[in-house]
Amino acid sequence: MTAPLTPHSESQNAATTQTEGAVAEALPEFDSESIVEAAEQLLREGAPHDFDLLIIGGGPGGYTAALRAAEQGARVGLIESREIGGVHINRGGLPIKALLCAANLLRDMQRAEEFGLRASGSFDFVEFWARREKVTSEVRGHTQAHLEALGVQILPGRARFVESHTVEIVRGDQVVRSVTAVNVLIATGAVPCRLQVPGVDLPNVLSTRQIWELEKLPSSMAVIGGGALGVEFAQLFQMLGVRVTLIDYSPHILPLEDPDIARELETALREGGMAVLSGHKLQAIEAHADGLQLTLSQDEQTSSLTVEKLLVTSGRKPNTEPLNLEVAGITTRHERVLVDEQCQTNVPGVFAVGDCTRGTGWAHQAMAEGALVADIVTGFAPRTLPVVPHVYYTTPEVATIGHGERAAQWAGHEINVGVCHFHDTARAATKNEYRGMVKIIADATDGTILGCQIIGPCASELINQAALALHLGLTVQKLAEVPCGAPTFSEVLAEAARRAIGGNFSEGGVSA
Amino acid sequence: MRNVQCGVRNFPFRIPHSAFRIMKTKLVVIGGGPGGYAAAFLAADLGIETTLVEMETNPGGVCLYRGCIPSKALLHVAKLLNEAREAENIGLTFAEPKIDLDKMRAWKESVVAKMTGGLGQLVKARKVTYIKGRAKFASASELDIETAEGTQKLSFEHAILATGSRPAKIPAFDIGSPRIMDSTGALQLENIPATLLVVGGGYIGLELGSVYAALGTKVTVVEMTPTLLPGADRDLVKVLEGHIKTKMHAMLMETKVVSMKEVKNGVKVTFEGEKVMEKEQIFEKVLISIGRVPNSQDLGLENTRIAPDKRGFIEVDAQRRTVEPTIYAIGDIAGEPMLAHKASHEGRLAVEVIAGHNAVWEPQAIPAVVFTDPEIAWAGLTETQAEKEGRKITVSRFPWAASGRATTLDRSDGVTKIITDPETERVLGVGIAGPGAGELIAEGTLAIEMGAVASDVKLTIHPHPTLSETMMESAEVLFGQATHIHRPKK
Repeated sequence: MTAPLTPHSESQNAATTQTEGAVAEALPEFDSESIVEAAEQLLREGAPHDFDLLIIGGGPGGYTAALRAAEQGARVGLIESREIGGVHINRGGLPIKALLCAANLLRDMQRAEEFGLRASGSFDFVEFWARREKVTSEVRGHTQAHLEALGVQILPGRARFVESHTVEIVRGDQVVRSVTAVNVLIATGAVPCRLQVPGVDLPNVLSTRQIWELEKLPSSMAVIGGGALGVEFAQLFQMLGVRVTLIDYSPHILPLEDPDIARELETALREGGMAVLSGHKLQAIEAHADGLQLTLSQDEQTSSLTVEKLLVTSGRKPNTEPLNLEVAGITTRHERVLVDEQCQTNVPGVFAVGDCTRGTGWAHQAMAEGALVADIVTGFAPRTLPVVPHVYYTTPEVATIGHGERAAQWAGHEINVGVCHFHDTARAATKNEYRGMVKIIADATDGTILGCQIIGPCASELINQAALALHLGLTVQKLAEVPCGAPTFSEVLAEAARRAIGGNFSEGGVSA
Repeated sequence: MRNVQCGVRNFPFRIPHSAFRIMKTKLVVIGGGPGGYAAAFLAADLGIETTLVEMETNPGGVCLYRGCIPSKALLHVAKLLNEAREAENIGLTFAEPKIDLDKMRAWKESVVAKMTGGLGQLVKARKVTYIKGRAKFASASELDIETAEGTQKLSFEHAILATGSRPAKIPAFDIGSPRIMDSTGALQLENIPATLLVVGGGYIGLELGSVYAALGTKVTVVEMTPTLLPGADRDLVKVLEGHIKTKMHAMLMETKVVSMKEVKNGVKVTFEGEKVMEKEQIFEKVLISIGRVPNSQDLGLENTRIAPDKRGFIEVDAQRRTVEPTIYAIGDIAGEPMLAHKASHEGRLAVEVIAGHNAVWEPQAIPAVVFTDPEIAWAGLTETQAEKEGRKITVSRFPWAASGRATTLDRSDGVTKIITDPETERVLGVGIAGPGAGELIAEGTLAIEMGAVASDVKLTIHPHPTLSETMMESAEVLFGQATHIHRPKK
């Protein structure tokens, strides 16, 4: 790795007058292997360039990289065709969480009758739905201000490669500018892809983008896709009083998680009045007088369902098509940008993070990757990315990290599993939230924590203790020893760890 | 999977009428609170024959019967009440909630009954011998236990003393008025008084004061020192103060209560101090929450060599052993901090020592949690403590205004900070103020206990958007500052 880049005041001044291709013209003298070092060498010598790091896409992966690199003194440009924050902040995870948090209060107050509180809640849907804008604009504004404060140059427009380190910025049909950078980061995210089902273009079939334009609550709705967005949207509408049917093709919802965790969520959703149809495939959509008629199939059997609206949350594909990646010689497969462990593409100095490398993923994963790339280009030693937690903001919440039971066994571990249910614990009783469990999976031979799965209240926050434990390579014995406050939900984690110790503790203990 | 030899007594235990028979046990645990039952359960799991002596029908102690559990249940109610009142910010409208106090009290009691009943079942499942009664030492190896059926003698090899604490009283205010309550009385939830004076700005007073304020009482808090939660870091307390001010009727800081007198419609309280305008005020009820004192009287300690100190605490060594090698003391009776989770850890430690493990009490971080709204939690070294010790530290603070999750919750006034060693970047302390702090602190405790450095916290991927990202981000704050020193050299 080369020495850290230091900003050159003279080249900074020159940046605004730069023209395209300056670095590119200088590059052919070097073989591609050493292109980054060569470019950095040129930079140190004062070679003209626009940015140390040019980022395409201002979503979580892109803006995190921008902030981190700018903090280290790198000159950063950020190309964004819409708003800073990407799908996540503007139309995805963040606004859903805000609305789920509000909808949860409706549910909590309904259940508060059990302990002697009665207050009927009401809401104006348009106003309620508009709260999304308040939250997104606040977070977006904060992020944008932070970017500007650190001197990140935000370049509105679409990006198109003309060469591996040179990108054109397009507004409308006009190429407004061409910029050159030592490092380029592709963080363009993903876009919904069209479901291959007849009738998918009917007016009441909504994408996760169109759903935000909803003007009144439908009486019934079907949601396709049992991933994070699917379960979260489905529960949000159900809490607001809509009759919701959740449909997923996989044998259980949350296809990424262990079946017992997924089934527990299915049960909770059904108890709340949702119809959960896992293992069902959507065959066709037809418009009828009383709504959309969906034809579903399970094994050989078909059934039908009539709903007012259909929300499609499944099916996203990397947003790489408009980038002109072939020109830059960047390898893709099924439109995904292929990257190595350091998020670098086959072209040295060109990186990619987030959904454009995988289709769907987690915002925090993209953010961690963005931070990694920023660190690499500002001269920190390469490192590998830690394990990524999965989080679903349903009620009860679901959060998992590391290996599930099956995955751990496939990986060749003999495992101990420690399970603790929330209903055994004091915090659950005081919060009136009994459903759920913590499962810790440990290697049976040495107690090393391999994974943790939580379904229950506060799972999204509890998982971090497990995340840190995994990162530190701890054993369940150690995790069980750490004192936690009482009464807290964290006690459930400690108890599950204690139970995952298995027979070793008492046997070894007595003889010790 | 778990290969545990369980206890030895399989018969349902009955106290014999005659006291001629002296019972024997390997280990007796005196007091069934969170320290006592944790000790008894672990001992049983380790195959040690165990007897638990407790005055209530089921274990639980103050924590479950008259402390943490009922107060947290009521705080949950208070939180919902406040959320419903402030729901307009999140696009919802609620009518002013109607409160059915009888139902609320019944629910609270059902929570307590469920928890204590559950513990009672665990006693049976683990085959711990349970004696309902009051124990006194006859010697360092024998107890007299007063039960409903008479006095029973029990000889033991090891004893763990876990009798806990009770609310402290101010003799001058002990005027026999039913309007003056301690925390136990306040948790009874007899009525919703129009006005309440909380004497003492510690966590118990603030938690219970918050409950009554949410229920509609005009609550005044009086505190002798200039600040709430003495001992906690100021920046954390400030977040709480900002919030609690809006909920309480008045906060009288640096004010002393001089006298209390029962009058026709309440208690007439005379204050002294520059901050208080009205020196005499009448309150419908008064809650005294000035601290707790250990229960070390009437235990027959005079028949052993154990002598409690001035404040009533029993001195113990690093293995929680008293001067009598057969007797251990844990929990509130063994000294500050008086916290349920400290007691249960000490209880388990004492049992490990009895079982012959090589174990000592050396926690780096016992988390402290105040369950007010917002919650305050800290673990390990505090800034206050570091200042007192003249210790060099680096503090990296992350304001929640920059947290997406806090924004979605409409709570951006929180703060998370990490205190590190400037030389090694090791995490020494963590402090958090904001909703959910009690859960977030667990990660901080783990980091401190395991000797993590700030970059361990920073590099661990935290899901987005969560409040726990604020832990990661405060570590990043430090990292940003330290970059020019630690950047790898070529």
